[in-house]
Amino acid sequence: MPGSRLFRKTLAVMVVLFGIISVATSLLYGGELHRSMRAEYESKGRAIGQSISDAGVELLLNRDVETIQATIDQYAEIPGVSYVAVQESDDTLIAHTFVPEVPAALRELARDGEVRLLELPVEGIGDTLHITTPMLGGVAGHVYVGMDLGVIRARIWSGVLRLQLLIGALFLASVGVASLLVRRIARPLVRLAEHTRALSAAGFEAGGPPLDAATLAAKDEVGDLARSLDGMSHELRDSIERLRQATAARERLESELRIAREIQMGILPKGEPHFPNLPLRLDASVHPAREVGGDFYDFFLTEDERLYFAIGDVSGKGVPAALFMAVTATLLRNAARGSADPARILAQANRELSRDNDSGMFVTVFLGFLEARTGRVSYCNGGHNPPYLVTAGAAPRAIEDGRCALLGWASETAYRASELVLAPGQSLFLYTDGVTEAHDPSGALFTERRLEALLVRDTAGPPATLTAAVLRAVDAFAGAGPPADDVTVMALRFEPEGAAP
Amino acid sequence: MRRLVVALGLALGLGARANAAEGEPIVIGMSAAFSGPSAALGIEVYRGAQAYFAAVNAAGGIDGQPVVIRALDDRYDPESAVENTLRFLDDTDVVVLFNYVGTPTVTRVLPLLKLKSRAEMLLDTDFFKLWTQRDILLFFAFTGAQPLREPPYGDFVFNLRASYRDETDALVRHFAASGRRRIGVFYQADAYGRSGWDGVRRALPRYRAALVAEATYRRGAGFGESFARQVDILRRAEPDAVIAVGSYAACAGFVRDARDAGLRIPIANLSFVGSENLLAYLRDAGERRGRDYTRGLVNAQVVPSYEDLSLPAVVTYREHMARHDPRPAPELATPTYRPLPYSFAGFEGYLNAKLLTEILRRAGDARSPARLREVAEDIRALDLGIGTPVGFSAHDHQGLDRVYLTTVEEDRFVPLHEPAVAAE
Repeated sequence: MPGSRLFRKTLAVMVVLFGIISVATSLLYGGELHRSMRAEYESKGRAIGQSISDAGVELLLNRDVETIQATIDQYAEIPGVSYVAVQESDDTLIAHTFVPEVPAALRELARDGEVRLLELPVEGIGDTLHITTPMLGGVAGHVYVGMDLGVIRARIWSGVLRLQLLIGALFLASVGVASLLVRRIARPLVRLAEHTRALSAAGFEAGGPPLDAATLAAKDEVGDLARSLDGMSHELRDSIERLRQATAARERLESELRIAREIQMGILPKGEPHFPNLPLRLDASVHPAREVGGDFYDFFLTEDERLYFAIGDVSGKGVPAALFMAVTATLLRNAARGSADPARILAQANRELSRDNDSGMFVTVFLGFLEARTGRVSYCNGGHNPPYLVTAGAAPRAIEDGRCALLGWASETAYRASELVLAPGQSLFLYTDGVTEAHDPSGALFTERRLEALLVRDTAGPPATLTAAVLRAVDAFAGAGPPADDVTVMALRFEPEGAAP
Repeated sequence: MRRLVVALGLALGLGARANAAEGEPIVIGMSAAFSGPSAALGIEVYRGAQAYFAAVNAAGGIDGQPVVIRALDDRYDPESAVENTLRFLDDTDVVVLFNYVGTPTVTRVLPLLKLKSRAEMLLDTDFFKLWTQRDILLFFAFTGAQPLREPPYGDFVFNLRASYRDETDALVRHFAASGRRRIGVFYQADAYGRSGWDGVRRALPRYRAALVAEATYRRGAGFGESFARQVDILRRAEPDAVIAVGSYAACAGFVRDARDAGLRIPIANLSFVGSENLLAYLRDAGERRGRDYTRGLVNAQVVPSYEDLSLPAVVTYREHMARHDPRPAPELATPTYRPLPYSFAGFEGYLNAKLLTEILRRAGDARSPARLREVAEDIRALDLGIGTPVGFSAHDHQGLDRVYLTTVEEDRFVPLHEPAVAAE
């Protein structure tokens, strides 16, 4: 909990501060007490010595030792006095208060008729301030008064102890006040922390615990923090809401694109159709770079047993390209139903596409009819990559003849058809530039060279084998990255009776 | 025999009641230890005096007035003794101070007597002034200390008993006579101990003896305390005899520890020790430990033995004690204390009372301190029934100076005739 951590730090600082205060005051107080008590004891001892000395002379002369003893007994009862003794001029202690005997330290003491002060450790009594007072200048004798320095020490200790108790009480009181204060400061912080935890637990949805008004209204740094946190959480909540809505919109869009693709794919005939009783085999496939693409292929069998086939590539990608492609494919197919002249079909479609083409889009198309009985192909190339004539065991040949302009650029473009005849077993391989312009992660292109190598190698099988091999090779070449462009391939094979295989 | 004594007692008692004093009482003030470590002394001195006064009062008192002791407990504490004395001085009923017990207590009270005994001006006119002397007198304190017998306070005190100097002199003389000239002193660290110590020191040169060691103990020490250190201090000086100046509890403890430490020299005690109480402690301790602690004791007494039935005062003392068996007033009673049948202290109290009664009787109606002083100072060769005459004069307030040395035989104190023999 942040409060207790804050409090621990505060406590540590207070312990250090109070320690310093405690030591400093104890030293000062103890020293001062020692000085003043020592001075007081000294003057007390001197006064006692002097008064016994004054009274003692007469008593000594009368040899009245009982009264001297009674007198010094009285003085010895004064707190702080540890002993009193009176010594005659002949060195005999004629009265003293020692029990059980006169300590050795006091038996041999120099005396010279002056008041003397001496700090003396006395066995059985402790440290003593020993005060010698002469009687009649030392002629009559001396009075000894011992002031107990241990009492001073004990008083100092008890005084210091009391001081420590006071400081301790103040310390405890301060700890109490500091605890309240820290808790008051920390409480909004704790609440802020709980608030942020609750916010993140609630996934920054609206409806989390609101910050209390008091914390927000506070006119200190915590209030500032609370306000900025509150503002931040609102912003965060809003942007998360926006993101969520955007994500939902995108999901919706993506599902629409998926549907668009399905529609687009629905336009295209499904690959590897069956042509019963005709020596034809065909396989086509399109891999759009995005959900919907601009590539297309098309084929159908006319009633006079000719195979209409077409492959195209719309400039650009995505929905506009897909729409343009759908229009193109539909125009071509409709035209192909009314005519068997590839040039005428392209010219008609070009006119349609070029008209009011504000978007500036265009499309390349390779289109042809294959007579199923003879293998004769009439075709027209509207700006498309030349297909390959694939012969088993021979190098593929790019069909360069009959190349015309692409569609959608200029409405009055002239299209001219060409012809070729497929020998039994020969195939036509059509593709879009997505194949040859596929690039690997280093940026190198797939190129016609790699494609041609494949067309030599995989010619023996059905068209599906050929298309699959090409798609696989392109995939492998491009690696894990998304396809840069739509990839479309189509293979046609003429297989009259007896032709291999 | 016993039945006879009881019958006699009854007869005397009945007779006494018929003549009992009924006049205004003569009040005398007594401050003594009725509790604390010297309680036995206060109680026994009180009982002895009270036995005599009871007999006097039973026989009609002094001119029909009974004598009443107003007793206060000072616990052997000087300050309390002063407080008690101040109360007596404020009480106009109290005629005289009597039977105080203890040196430190009485020594502290003495200046008070001098202070309060001052001239009072009765009349102050232009023609003449009339002064009166208001004396405070202390009769027969139970202490042998010197200040009671010397200026400046001796004037306010009448003493019956011999002084500690007399006692210590007798003890040193006794030891010197048996060749024991190395004397050690064990004494209470106060005016009483100092008095005995001083007495010993003064006696030494007369008998060519020497003080070889001294050790003190604190007033109020009980029998249970250890006196081994004091024994050790004295033993190191190898004395021939030790004179103990203390109270019975401490002296008994000292004797016990000395004997336990193998110190077999004679140990002497002053009269103040309360011989019977000392003996009781030593007997009890001896029985518990299977030892005889009572040998080698020499106790100085200032009154004859209460066993000496040849003395008339002893006979009446025993009679009066048996008949009245006086006890302290309930507020002074110490429940744990069992009174002695007879004791030296009690006998001294008895004699004190007998002498005070004589003085009061002679003073007649006017019992002012001045009159009492005058009467007391006129007493010459008075027979108290102890075989020694008592007398005072204006210059001599000391009644007796005889010291009786005793020792223990068969659990009793008997007169010591031979020089003391070593213990065991």
